[in-house]
Amino acid sequence: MTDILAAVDETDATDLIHEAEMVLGTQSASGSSSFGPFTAGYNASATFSGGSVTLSAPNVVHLTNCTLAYSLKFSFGIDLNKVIPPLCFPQVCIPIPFDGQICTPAFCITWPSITVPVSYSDTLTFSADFGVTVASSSSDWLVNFVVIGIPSLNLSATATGLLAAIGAAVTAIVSAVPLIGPFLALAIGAIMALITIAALTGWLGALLTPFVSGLTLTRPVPKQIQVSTTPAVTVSINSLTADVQVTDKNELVVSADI
Amino acid sequence: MFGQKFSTAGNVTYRLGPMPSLTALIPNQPEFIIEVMPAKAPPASTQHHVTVRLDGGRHVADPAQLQIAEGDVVTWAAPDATTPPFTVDGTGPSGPFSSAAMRHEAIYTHVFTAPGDYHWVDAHGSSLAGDIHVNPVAGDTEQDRQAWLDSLRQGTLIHIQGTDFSPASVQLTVGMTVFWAVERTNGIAIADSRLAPNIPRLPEGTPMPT
Repeated sequence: MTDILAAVDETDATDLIHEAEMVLGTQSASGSSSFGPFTAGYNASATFSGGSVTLSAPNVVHLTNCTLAYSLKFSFGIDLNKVIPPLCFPQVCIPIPFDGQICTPAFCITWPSITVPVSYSDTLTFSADFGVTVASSSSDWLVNFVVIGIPSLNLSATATGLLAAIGAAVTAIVSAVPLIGPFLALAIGAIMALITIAALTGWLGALLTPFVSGLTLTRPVPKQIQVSTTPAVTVSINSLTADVQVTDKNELVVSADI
Repeated sequence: MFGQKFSTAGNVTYRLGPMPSLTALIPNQPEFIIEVMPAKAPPASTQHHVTVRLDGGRHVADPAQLQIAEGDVVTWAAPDATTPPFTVDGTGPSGPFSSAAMRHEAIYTHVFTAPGDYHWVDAHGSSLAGDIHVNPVAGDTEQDRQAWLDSLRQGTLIHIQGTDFSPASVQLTVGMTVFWAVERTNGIAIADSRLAPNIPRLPEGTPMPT
């Protein structure tokens, strides 16, 4: 027999999800992957916040307009010799007071390979369906909201922002290359032409999708609860279930045996 | 690039290395030879160029041996930008010579690769010093680039004789070459003042020593 039966509506379920988002905290990942002709080593972190819950029986929690705030740090390398022509200095001759004419030898320089570090933070919103399950840890019952399927992320706007950030980073690094002056616009143009929005969108998708696919938001419920009575009473929850049920409206129903 | 005029016939030997004091410490540092032949006719100076490169961690000269005539000039330069800086130190019938202490009929050149204001000094602390203003390149079209490359054929000369030198200040565009022609001094080394910060500087207006 169920000893405690609690039903929460969509407003309270939304609060539960927000608490679970805070419990989840910051997720991070690192690795190396390619966009266009470049390979970038990256560190990515993400947090979830907000969103509104609608409940659908049987056992589906719809979360809409959840905010994914992410931060990326990555760097990629470019051999400038592959994007701009070689620079060859002519022979320079000058008359010397104690001699005839002295000439320097003509020579060509090799452009350096550069590393472009990029830091970029942005937010995007997404919607996802979650199933509700309950698991047990040593001290808590864990009400888990487990994402169903792979939510779709709309990355076109954020990819445009990232492209601008990459452009600024490339400009800063290339500008510091000695003798680049007359080749600056040429170099930046050539590098940026290699980075397309489509490639960036795909790259961002590969980086950010793992944060939302398999996303589990957890709201812990202590197995033992102190009740403020005299004398104090400790209530032990021996089992817990949670699912979305149809009562007079759709509700998230939590049942506990104590 | 460093250059030295050899006006007296006889054999000149020299070594290449990171700096004179260190060069002497490097074991088996190769010695290179310049054979200065007596001039048969009124001297018409010829320039001979030696390429410096790194081989097995040591600077080496190519060619290792030269035969020149009295009054000829030998120049040394490393075409590979990754070659560490080097000095040329030797001795001949006219006495010692060194790129780190240019005394007599020597030439030092430098290509300015970044815009900015430079203050050159004598690394040995004499009052010889001057200013070089390097302007950035304007424009980035193909025409601009070609015009810039063409302009690089013009060098700028700073002539040093004793404690006199001229001009004290020069303006040029990035990528251009400055030639210091050292006719006669007690031995100077041209250095960027930022790389020689401990050199005491004379107050502005201090008369040059005679």
